[in-house]
Amino acid sequence: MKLLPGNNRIKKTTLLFVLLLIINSALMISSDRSKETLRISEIGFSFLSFFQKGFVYTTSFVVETVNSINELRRVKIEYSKLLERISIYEALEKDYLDLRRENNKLRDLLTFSRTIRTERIPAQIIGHDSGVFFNTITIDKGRRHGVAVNMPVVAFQDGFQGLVGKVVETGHSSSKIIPLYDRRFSVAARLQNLRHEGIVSGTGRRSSLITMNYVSRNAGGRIGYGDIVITSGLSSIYPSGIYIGRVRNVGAREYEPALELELEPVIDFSRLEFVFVLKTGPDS
Amino acid sequence: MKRKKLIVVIIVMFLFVLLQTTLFRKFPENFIYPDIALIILVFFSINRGVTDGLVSGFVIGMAEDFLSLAPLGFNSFIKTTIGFIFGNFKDKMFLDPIFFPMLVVLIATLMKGFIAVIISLAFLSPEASPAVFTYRFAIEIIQNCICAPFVFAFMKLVKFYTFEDRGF
Repeated sequence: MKLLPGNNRIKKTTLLFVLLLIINSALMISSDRSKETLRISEIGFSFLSFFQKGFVYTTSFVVETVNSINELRRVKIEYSKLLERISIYEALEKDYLDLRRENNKLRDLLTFSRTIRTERIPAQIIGHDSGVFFNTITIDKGRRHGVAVNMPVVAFQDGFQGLVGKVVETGHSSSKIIPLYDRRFSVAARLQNLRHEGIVSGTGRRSSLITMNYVSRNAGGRIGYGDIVITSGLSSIYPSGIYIGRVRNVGAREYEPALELELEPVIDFSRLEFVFVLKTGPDS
Repeated sequence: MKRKKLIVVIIVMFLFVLLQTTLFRKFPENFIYPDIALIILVFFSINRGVTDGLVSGFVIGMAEDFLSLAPLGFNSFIKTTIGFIFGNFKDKMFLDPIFFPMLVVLIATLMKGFIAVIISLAFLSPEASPAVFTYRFAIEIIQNCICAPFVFAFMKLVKFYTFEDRGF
């Protein structure tokens, strides 16, 4: 029996569909185990993140250029205003303000250098996940710059060195980070003042609170709103003393042997642009 | 010529993926999350048929997988299936400019969620499985539906300026 050309075409497309699904299934099954799949993923990521980088740098350039025109106009207006005002101030007062500003800056720099003891790689965030099912942060530093899997990632905001996440995949010149708020992320932590330990894990949403589980009930009555939680240093990946979050709620169910705390991350991920990769992981 | 059309649409989809992974994420989390590549895929599949739908779905899904922490093949599986299903409706649907795009994109987004659940159950360990039917997914459904008429209109313009005379 001969098949009509239309039927043949349907058969071909169905075959192609099945073939592509088999390829996808095979990739998914082997994604955790096979080195070849990891290699394919790394090559694809390195290649495509190159476009991502180009896109971010180009748009930044355009935005900065447009902003610089406005900035110039604003500066010109301010300049003329300041010229009028400057004659009012005396030289001594001006010197005093300059010295005070310089002193503050130096003090900030001193605190900054004291909090970091490990070697760090500065990086810019160039991308996030395109979908809603997974949380990915992509940075513009990769193997070429010394970044390796499992290295912790931190950032500085409002004077705190806060935990951002850890590196899970590296490309040639870019890397993927699993953020603190991802459901699959967990880190050994402790309350900074009370010293009780627990495990902090994400809830999946960038703007929601994260949770700290397995905190001893003994700490119950003494935990206060705003208490700071830091990394305990018990895992081999994260050094101790990195700020994670502040306590916002204490959950205590009678039938559970431990407390569950809700924390607000120290880092505001919605305004995060630059991070530091710490060269302290086991792969470093 | 056929291949050129496919490549142009894949490039357009990839540009939107880049846009989604870079600029869109600067907005607050609850503000914007439409899956524009999915909307374009639905438009393209309905207009071009099964083969182009599933090939473009496979390629753009794979690109998303490379840039994401999703297991390799996760997004590709979803988009290949959606491209195949909607490709079967070529020349069988009436395309009004507002309600039809919203309806088909609503169905496609729900389908995406169900396929993600099936994939998670079939291929992924519980630790690697994402939470699918969440608040964020609900927002994506609404935003995809709102964006659908505009993206369809945009794609009609792309079609007009690139391929109209050659029979897109």
